Amino acid sequence: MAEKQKIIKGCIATGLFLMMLLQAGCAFKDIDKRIFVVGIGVDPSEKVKDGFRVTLKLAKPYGNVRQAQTPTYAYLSHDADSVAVAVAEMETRVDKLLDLTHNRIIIINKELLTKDLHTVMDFFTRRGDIQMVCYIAIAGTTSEEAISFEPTIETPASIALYNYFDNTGTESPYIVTTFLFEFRRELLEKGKDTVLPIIDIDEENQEYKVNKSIVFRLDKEPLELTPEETKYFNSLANRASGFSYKFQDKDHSVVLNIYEVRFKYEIILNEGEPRIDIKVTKVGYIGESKHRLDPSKLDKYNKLAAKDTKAEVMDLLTKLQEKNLDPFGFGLRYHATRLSRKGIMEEWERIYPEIKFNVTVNVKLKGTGAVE
Amino acid sequence: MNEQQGTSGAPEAPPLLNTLSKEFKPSNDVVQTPLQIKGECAFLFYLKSVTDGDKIHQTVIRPFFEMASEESFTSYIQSLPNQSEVPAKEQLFVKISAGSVLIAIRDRTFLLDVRLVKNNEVQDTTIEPTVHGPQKGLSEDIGTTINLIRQRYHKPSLIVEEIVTDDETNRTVALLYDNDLVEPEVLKKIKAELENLQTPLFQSAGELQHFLNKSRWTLFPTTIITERPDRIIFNLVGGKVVIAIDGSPNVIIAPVIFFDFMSSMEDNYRVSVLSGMTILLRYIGLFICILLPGLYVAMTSYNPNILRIELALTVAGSRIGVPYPSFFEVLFMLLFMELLTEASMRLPKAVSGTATTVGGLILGTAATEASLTSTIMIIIIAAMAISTFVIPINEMSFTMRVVRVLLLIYSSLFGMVGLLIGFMGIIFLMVNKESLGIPYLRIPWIGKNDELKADNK
Amino acid sequence: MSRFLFYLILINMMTSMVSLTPRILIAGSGSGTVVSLIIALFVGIVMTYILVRLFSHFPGLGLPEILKAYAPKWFAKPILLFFGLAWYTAGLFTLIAYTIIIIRFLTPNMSIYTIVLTFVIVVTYGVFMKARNILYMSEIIFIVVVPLIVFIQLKGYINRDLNWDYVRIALMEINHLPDYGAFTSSLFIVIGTANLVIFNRVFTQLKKPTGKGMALLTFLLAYVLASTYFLPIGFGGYEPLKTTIFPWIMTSDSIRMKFGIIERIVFIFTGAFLALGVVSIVMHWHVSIQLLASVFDFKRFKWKSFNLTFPLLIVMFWVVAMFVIAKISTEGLFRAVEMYDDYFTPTLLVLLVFCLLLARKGAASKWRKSKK
Repeated sequence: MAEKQKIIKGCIATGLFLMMLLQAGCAFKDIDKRIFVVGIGVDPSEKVKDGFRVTLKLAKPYGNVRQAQTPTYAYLSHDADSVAVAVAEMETRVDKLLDLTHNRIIIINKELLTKDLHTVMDFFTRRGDIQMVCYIAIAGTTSEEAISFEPTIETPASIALYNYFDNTGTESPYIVTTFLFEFRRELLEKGKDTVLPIIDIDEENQEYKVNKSIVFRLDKEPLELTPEETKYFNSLANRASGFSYKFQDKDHSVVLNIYEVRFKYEIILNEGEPRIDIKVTKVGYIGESKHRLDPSKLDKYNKLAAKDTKAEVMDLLTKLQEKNLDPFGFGLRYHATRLSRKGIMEEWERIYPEIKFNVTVNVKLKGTGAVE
Repeated sequence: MNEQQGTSGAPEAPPLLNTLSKEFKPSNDVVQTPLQIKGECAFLFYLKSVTDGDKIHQTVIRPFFEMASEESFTSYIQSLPNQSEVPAKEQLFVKISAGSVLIAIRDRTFLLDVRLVKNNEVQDTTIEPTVHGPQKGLSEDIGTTINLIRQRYHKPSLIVEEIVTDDETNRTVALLYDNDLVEPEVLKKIKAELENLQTPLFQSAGELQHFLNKSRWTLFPTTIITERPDRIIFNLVGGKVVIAIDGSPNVIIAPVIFFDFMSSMEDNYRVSVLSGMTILLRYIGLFICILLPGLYVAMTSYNPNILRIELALTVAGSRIGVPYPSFFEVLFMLLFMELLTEASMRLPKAVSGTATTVGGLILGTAATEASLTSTIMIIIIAAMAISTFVIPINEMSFTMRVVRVLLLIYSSLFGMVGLLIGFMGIIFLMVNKESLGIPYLRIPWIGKNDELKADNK
Repeated sequence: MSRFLFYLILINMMTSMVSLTPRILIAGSGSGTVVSLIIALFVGIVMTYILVRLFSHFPGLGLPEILKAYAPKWFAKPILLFFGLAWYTAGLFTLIAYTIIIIRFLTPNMSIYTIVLTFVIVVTYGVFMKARNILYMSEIIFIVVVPLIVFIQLKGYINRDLNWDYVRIALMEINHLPDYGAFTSSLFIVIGTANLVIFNRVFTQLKKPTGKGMALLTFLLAYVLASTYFLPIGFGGYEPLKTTIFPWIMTSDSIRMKFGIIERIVFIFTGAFLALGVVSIVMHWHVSIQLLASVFDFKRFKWKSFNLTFPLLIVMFWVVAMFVIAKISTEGLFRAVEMYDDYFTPTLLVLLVFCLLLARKGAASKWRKSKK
């Protein structure tokens, strides 16, 4: 009996194996038969009405990375009435499988922010194979230009644009990083508005320039932040440290290096006028000064720096408030600290334009750097 | 020559000796001599080729002539340490052909063990060498082997049980175990297995192991073959049973679990951190060895999105011009590597070096130059080949070579998911296996294994 | 408490953690999920306690044996049939869910039959393993996989992009009345104990639940339930997440290991859960096939003295699975799971407790009789 059992088992196993051989292999596609998309740019189309112009940056594989002198990328643009159609039609223009899974940056034209953002974003979040950790950015001019620009320092097999937002390369407080998942949640949920970096091209030096950002909410006029504002926003909201910050001491200016930022706020409604208490703490040391500095007078510098910072922060906050934008997520906090009920966000929308900011800045300098 | 007693007109040899001589008759090395002095007489029967002539002379013949009476000679013989009871006829044949001398005095018979063993030198450990630890292994002679084990394990509870099997050569098989530590269930099972052994011939531990393993299709070895006395002692203390076979310099240890195959005796000789590191290394090696080829196929052909973009581009670049799909690429290289391994194992030592050089270096370089395989593939094959040899017990490392191919097939068919599920399948196989009623693979929690004393039936 | 009991419960729980339950929970958010979670936790713990206690009266006996000894045949057979089908369906849901996850996120080009075929051999082999070995196997997989999962979750919890305000918004739903759907689907998470209907055959020394064991279990269940619901919300937002099909996959895709060998955590994550999923399917179908075999012992289905009951059942299992997978849509799957959770799970639990109580009474009276 045991023998027969074995025969039966063997037959079943062989049958299954044959079935497997017949079935399998349909998704088998060698890596050299794929072409990796490493950047996507979306512009409004000039040819197709209400359509999009999608630009793809394709990485061409090459035999020896070290011998390749210049980065080897190819660029492909196509106009269609939706992003998906454009990508699908581009598949007929390359001989290999377009592999979107390695894409880590999506650049969107500024005009699209107020127009068709929903359809654009839908494509990227609906497809399961696009990473949710893609960086989203806004093009300074057109995204086609931003995508297909090749800076002089770009090396083979390394995509310059990733290094700006990925914290493994450059780290600067001027650069805001927004992932696709953040973008999605902030776009679709009321209470916090998205901030996206703007990618400009430095024509003189043939490099990228990423130091501005844009704040916007769906169906609202976006607000562009200057590099300085971007820096302040970033240092508070994302605790971006290491930035050089200037303040005036009488007639000469001193530059600080900040390595730690703390940012706390509380919404207070029941004590007189509604206000937001904001507490900012910065820890750092002095980075540059024209004069010799007295280490015992650090307290003085602390106060001077705090005063300056407070003014800058207040400016930023009121500017945002005037435009009725809320990238810090005060509204979200309001929602999060109250028991849920209907119309809670409408309430906040009435409160926010009127609310007062009460900013306290605390600067703690730990030293004068390596010299006095 | 063996019919001398007829001419001297001496007393008749006992009937037992006659039957014996009839049984062994055509052989030239049979000796049957009467010893006679002053009416006292004794008969000797032995095989010249397996007995120690000097010893017979020293312990039997000379005392016979020096002693006065048959009686004192009888009691002398009885007191000899190598004297044993005369067993039944069948057993007697075996004993005599293994090197015993039969002495008949009047109507009494004695059996003296005067084996002449030429293959009793202790061999160097060659299969499982260690840096520290004993450098000598076991011997081809079972007596020496048992001696080597006993000399390291001085406890009365160490039982040596000789079993003469039913095969054609009547080879001696000895069971060694510590009576206090061994599990009676396991012992009973092993004995039953050995007694039910129905094979015409087995010559080595490896063969016996093969016969002990009943099912026809087995992937994983369920007993360890070892040549290291320290491993034997280690396992005896662990309550296991050692099976020694005359003529084989290896013994079988049973029952074993998977983790036994992954342990080297060296682990016990080192500082804990160091040996921990080595063990970790070994498991990493194991995983590299079985997963890497499958991983390569799955990653290049199904899920290149798992790789970093830089690596993906490099792999894609190194595959430019390779004519075959990744699956065949791996299969070819794997085939060449296996051929190389087999070749260098069988070749004489002097030539095997050349084989490895030609095969490994020249073939590998040439294959990439001719763009038959990618450079990455060569790295993978090399890493895999090295890590195969990290597994300390050869048996397991050979098994892993097969497992590797299975996983390669599975992942070529189903990609990354296939690799994962195939790997789980291998775990399933191992978990569902038993070595003499002991689960083959499970997490060994110390002191907690009683929680599930489920069946063991 | 035996550690194997923990594996039974935890594996069952964690498998549904990524697949279907979070969607149902999150889709139902806004209508009292938080309270439902708490109630489900409480009920689940009590249920676990009762079941383990009841089963400890019948050491080494599965439900078929218990019912055979203490219940009439007309009563036992339908119940066993119902249980067998319920367990089969549970395994089937897991299979379908993971098939969809694979096709959506791992190998989009693969045919759905091929994906199912991947499972066929391994799962079939697993189902026919001895119950004891299934437990050993689950322990191994559990110990290999869970550190990975814990690592990923920790990585998620300490991630700066996790916005706790969204989590708090979800928490503030606490003032809503509990939702039946959310309650039952989270109850399914804690129902792993019911696997004892067959696995109790292996537990010959199942002790009464200890205080320490129950406390640990409560903690683990609470952690898993909370993570299941809140962590995805922290990454995906409160409102936007309601429209995602697999919130946990999206969440794990939002976490990135900058310096890992594999950069995108989603692969490790799906891999880990896939492994648990396979174990869970094996467990459920093992239970199911044993229960069904106790109902129909096909005496007639013999081929040369070889009983075909089990092979027939498993072939039926796969044929049905293939058929259902080919037919069902994602939405249909969710509808079906919701229905299963709403009606089957509670019925099943109540029936099980009822049967055991009955059997215990029977056992007690028998014992008394024999004593007299």
